[in-house]
Amino acid sequence: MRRWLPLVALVLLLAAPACVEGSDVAAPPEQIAVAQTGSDAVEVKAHEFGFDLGRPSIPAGLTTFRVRNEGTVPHEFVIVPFDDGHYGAPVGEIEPFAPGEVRALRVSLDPGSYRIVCLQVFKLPEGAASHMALGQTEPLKVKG
Amino acid sequence: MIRRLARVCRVNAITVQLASVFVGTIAVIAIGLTTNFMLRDQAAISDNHSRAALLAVRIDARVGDAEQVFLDGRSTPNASLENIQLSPAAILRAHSLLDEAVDDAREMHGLIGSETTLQILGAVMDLQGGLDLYASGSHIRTLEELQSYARAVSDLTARAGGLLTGQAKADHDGMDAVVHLSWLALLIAVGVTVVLVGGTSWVVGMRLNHAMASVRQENATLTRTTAAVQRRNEQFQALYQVMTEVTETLSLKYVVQTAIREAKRLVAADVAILRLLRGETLDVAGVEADDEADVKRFAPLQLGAGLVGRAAKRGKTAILDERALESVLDGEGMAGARSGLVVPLIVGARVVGTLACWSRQKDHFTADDQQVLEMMASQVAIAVAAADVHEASEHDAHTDALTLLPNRRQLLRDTTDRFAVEIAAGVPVSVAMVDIDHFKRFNDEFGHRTGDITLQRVAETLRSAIRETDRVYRYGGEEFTIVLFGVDADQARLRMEHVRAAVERSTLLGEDMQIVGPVTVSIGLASGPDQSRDFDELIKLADAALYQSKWAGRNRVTVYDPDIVSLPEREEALDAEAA
Repeated sequence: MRRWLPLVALVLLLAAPACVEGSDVAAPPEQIAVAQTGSDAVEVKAHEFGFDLGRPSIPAGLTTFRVRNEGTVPHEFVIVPFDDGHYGAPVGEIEPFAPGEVRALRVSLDPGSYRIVCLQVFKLPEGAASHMALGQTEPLKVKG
Repeated sequence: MIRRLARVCRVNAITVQLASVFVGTIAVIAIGLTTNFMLRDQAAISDNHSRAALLAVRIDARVGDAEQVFLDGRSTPNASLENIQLSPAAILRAHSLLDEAVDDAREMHGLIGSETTLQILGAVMDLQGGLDLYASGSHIRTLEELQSYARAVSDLTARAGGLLTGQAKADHDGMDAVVHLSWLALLIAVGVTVVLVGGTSWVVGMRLNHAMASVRQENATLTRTTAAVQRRNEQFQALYQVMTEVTETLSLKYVVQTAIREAKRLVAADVAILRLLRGETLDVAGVEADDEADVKRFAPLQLGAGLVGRAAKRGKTAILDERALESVLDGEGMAGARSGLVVPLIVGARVVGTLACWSRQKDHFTADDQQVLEMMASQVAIAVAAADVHEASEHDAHTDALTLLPNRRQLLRDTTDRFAVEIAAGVPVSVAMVDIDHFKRFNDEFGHRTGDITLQRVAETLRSAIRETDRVYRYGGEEFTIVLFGVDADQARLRMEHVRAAVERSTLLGEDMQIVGPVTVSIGLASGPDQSRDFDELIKLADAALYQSKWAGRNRVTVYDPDIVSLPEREEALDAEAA
């Protein structure tokens, strides 16, 4: 039995990064401090009423979005799966934040089609309307 | 195209019919299944929309309740907390309401997944997030903002609820449309199937009718052909029989009777008549008819006269129709005949007679009848000719050429069998020997020619003087024999006396018409069975009696008497006369 111990230890050592990476994939979306973001973060600009995505297509896996509110009203950043005209449940979200502020979100995304939307609601004279209804929605492609 | 379709239908009507039923059934099943799946999908969608509409109403109500909490809070500010105007209980209540609203919004978005439901979900979550921020005192959201936001969310939800309700109704209408469409499709499928099956059934029925008609027609033709063949067979059998019979006999009477009997049967005629050509006259040789009146109706015809006479003269068969029969002569055809068939009897190039058949049925005789009757006629003609020749030769062999009386050979033929029968039955038979007196003198004085004439005249006198039942033969030389069946010696003697007197009375003219007379005969008579039961013996006895007549002075009748004369004496007396 003792003869196998070094081999077991080697296997565990090799498997460890995979386990760590796997735990990253399974990790829930998390708002992080902007300072924690790196140069690989996807730059997003929010404004009335739209998003400017630095990259419309990103690889699957853990991704960091750095969102700057360049508008004059609070905006939020919500990632929703979108397939064949059907919206799924949001998979990541930055709560509404004030104009001029920058927020970061780290989220693991599976391959597929998504939409970046702002679901803030306006109370207009003719009735309520969300920012999304006013055009603040942008497609995002996650490749496998 | 139509012709091609018709041809295809004719060829494969049953296949098309079966295919129609199959395709129709498949179509109905397919429509049913498709409709079922469509309705199930549509029902699921409709259920989702209905549920979503209900959830929207609930979300709207809860957000409205939360808004009311916010309004109530604005009207009763909390003095103890400077920056918080809502009481903790109110916040908890509003949070609880918005929790339920978020759950409903999640379910609704899960069901529908549209942009609208996403906006509602986001808005409700934002409202809840705003409340959390408000409760945490971050000052990001004021109570007024929350109330205003709640109003906006409520508006959004109410509008979405209306939309979803409308969609649910549209779904229901869609389901109705699917049901109507499926009914229409089913009706069309069933209709097309019925039309195809009906059409092909009609085609099959027509084909069957046509086939049945053909079969009936062929059957009728076969029946007619069979009957014709059967009749033909019977005709040939009868023909063979008649040919065999007529060629095996030399009896003209038998040939004629056989020919007319079989001819009548062969062509199913009412009357068959055979005529024989004698010189220029077609004599009736025999008639075969069911009715005796028809037999007596026929009379001799001149060659070339009437339909039969012309057929005989031309030597060609004639089938006579009703119109032709209007010109038939009396005694030529059958009374009431509506069709006739006349076949000439031809041997070589010579017409020897006609064979005619008559029927009361219109157009009764066919070409087959004509052919069969002609075949029969050819054989009958030969048989008739052969029998005719035979009978003529027979006649010549048994007839004396000078006197035309039957000769001694005929005498033996006529009497050999009959004499024994009559004698055995006890019937008297008398035999008379007749001899011309002084015949030699006629030859010597007037020549042999006058002698021959004397023999002829005496023969004629004897023939006319005897009774119908008696027979006279030339026995030889100037001697004759008379046989009298059923006549005893006494009656015979009286009759012979009559004969003797007749000869005595007759005037004999010679070759130059001069009177050469007188001529007398001596007669000797013998009768059986009293005097003999043997014919030859009776001849001898009569001959002896003749001698007695000669001896007694001639020109007399003597009945044989054994006590008076003996044969040797008679021989001597005859010898003396010859000398």
